[in-house]
Amino acid sequence: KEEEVKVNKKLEVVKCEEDDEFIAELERTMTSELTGRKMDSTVNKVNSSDLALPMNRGFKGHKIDGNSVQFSVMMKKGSKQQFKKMDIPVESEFASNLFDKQKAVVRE
Amino acid sequence: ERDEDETTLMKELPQHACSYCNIHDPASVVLCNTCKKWFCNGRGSTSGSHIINHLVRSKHKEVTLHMDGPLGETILECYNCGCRNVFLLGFIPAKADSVVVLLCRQPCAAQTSLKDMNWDQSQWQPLINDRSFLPWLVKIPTEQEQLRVRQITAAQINKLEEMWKEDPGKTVEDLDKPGIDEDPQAVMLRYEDAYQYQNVFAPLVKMEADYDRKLKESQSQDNIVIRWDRGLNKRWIAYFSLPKQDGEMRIMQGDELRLRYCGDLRKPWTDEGHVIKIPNSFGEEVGLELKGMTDVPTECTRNFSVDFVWKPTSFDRMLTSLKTFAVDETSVSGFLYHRLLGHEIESEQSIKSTNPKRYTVPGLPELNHSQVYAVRQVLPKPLSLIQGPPGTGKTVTSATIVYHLCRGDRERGGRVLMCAPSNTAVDQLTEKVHRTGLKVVRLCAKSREAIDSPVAFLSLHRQVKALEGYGELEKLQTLKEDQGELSSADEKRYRTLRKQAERELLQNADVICCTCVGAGDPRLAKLRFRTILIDESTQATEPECMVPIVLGAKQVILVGDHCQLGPVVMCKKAARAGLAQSLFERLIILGIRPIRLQVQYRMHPSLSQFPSDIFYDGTLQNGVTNAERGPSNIDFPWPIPDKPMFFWVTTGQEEISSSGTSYLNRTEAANVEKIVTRLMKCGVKPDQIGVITPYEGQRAYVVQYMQYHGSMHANLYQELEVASVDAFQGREKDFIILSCVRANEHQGIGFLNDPRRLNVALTRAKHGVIIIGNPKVLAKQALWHRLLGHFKDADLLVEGPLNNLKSCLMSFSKPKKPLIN
Ligand SMILES: [Zn+2]
Ligand SMILES: [Zn+2]
Ligand SMILES: [Zn+2]
Repeated sequence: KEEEVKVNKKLEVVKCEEDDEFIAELERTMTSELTGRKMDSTVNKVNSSDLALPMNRGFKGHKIDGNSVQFSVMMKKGSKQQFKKMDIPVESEFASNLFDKQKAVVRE
Repeated sequence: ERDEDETTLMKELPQHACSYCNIHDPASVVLCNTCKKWFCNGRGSTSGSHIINHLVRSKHKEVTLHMDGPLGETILECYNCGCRNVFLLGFIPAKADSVVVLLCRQPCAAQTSLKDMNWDQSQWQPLINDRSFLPWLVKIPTEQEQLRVRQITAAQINKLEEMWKEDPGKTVEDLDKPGIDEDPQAVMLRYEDAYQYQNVFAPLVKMEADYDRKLKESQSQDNIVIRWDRGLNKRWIAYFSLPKQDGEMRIMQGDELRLRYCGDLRKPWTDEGHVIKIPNSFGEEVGLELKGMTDVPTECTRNFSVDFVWKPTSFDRMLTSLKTFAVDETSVSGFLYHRLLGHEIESEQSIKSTNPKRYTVPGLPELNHSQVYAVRQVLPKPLSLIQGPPGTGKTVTSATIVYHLCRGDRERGGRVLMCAPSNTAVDQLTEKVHRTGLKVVRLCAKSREAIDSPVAFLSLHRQVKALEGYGELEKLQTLKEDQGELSSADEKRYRTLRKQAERELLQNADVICCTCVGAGDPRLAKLRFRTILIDESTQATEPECMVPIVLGAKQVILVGDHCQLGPVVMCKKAARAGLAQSLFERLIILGIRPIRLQVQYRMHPSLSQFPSDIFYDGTLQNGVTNAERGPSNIDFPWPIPDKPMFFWVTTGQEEISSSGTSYLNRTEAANVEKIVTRLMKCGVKPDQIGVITPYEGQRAYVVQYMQYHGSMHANLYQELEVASVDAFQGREKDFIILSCVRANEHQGIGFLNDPRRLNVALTRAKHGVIIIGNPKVLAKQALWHRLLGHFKDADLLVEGPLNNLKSCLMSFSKPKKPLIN
């Protein structure tokens, strides 16, 4: 791969009115979408039966390569359940949380 | 054969490139399902990633991942209820298993029943985190990647989103389009990114193209009389003379013209051809070799019209290279990209290069210390400038550099591309590099294949003929030459074989030479060139230089002399906006110091004195000492024997030439004839003499005057070259005679008011310079005031008959404008 070109130009955030507006608008959108969803009566109680994690996944511990942990993402293909691999950085909360939980299980 | 249209092989931006900044790594971009536009997960200079910026401003809420990303083509939706509102989605992990699932925050992720299905609701991770999508889901492009693409501000994003509301088809380019009638944006020193660079130069290139087209099309001439002739290659040649030849329009060899028959002796006819002979001292006729072979109206000689055929090829290639520079990040190395845009770079990378034991190269003359220093400095540098004043051997230096680059780069198969703006300069480069034994291929335009040149044997189409293993091609080639045309099947076979042979030759060449615009030839498009050397780069516009550079340059060497002629830009508006400033000059202003070749071999020491002081800070050294000088020992009445130069005061009045747009000066013409005749009487041959004059009117008059009034045989004067300064750029003669013709300072042209042209005029001669003009008028211009002072102080300002020259005691008034050097 081409060597890194160290340019004095740094990628910094250029503070300006339009950017501040964007930040505020994003906050507003997050909260308004959530409150809107809560008050949305059409969203009925959804059965969550197929959310169950199949036990026979044969959990054989998580694979670490380099600085990421290999997770699987549970997804639906039509109605069929499938798992797709996803590398998540070791320093992410998911990963560190997973390690703590496993240590706890071992300790028990 | 007709030119194949040049399918643009240029790398187009992929469909999934970010609509704000053009980043197009599939793992970093996301599709907005509502407006079907792609956006990246990089922030650029804003506080949120481009996709979030878009979703927030456009109120769109649903996205799909790219099929080549980690999860493949996936619509982000809640696993349980299918909700697709990204502002509500997030991941929760399984309690003790490395599994995660995407759920909507309300109600699915909030159900209590999840706990006993061992999902850990307390670890809810929203999809949008820190105003971007989770980095492990959609890759954040590196800083380097983001600095290499279009820099777009929050304000521009707003404007673009507004524009999309009325017209979704708009693109980010529309943000910068100046109003049509506004003056073009001037060229800058530094550019934010390559898109801005393109947005500044593309309009200027288009303006020059339009000007050139209108100018050419306005030059149509009617009721032309034709003298028919047949070339060796059986093609028809039409000879004719064009009355109006002044002004900027000069026909050059290889130009394409269209001939039309408008008489009534037969049905109308037209065909195109290219110029194989231009007006010179042998005759004012133009020779046009026609493409077509059949049904040529050679029985008619009158009622023909000639039109200039305007070809957009060179301009299209420049525009394409500007786009490639912006869109294709492999067009140049990262270092060159930032350096060419004027960005400050901390450490300059050096190119791995071997430092040879001996710098002088077989087949080329011994290098002097200044040339060795230049070669040594340039080999490890990714970007360097060499200033080669007149006669300092810059072509030899360039050939030496290329030799060491090829030899030193054995293992990486370093193939070098050598370019220059003019065909003559490219031929000189080719000849010098060939002498070193390197495998050289000279690529020339299809329309110039028929034109002979000293290096024709190295041209691609000639080498193809001599390539072994292509017997069938050779057979078809000779068949085509005999019959002029092949059957369509043969023609198809011929073309595929020729393409194959061309590719093979180009692949194995060490060095490929072509004009800057020639580098845009489709046959080079697939090749990558690590090193590009451009000679006479100060005579090329920036877009012209970019055509070869964007073929993958990692190392660029620009050779030139910004104290001599700059690029020819016909459209004044484009020139004023900066198109006439070469890349070489801009890089100097950006702080790159050019390495100057200091030893000149062309001029007699007394001739180099003035140009060295005025244009080269007095640094020019003389390579060949007085003693080794050639024919200055001829029996010519030099006022001072060992100083072969003088200013011959001539105060004849100038007149408007017959064409009404140019000038001539009869007394000066007579003095030119006297000098030429006296030189020839001393044994100097006509082709050793050059006469330079800024006016076409004087050029034609001097040629005619010498032939009728010259006391020696008429055809002797025919071989003598009389031309403008521009025609002499890059060339030399033993003796040069300058005829100034006139010098009213407000509208003078040529070397009368352009310091660089004067430098060129004064530095064409090896052994002698004689200037003919009226000092009283010339001295009004600061530079001429200084030049006349130089001659006067050396007692070389003289008047009177040639065999009884007396020093002239004329004094000159102070010049109006101060000398700006
Ligand atoms: Zn959208
Ligand atoms: Zn982007
Ligand atoms: Zn849901």
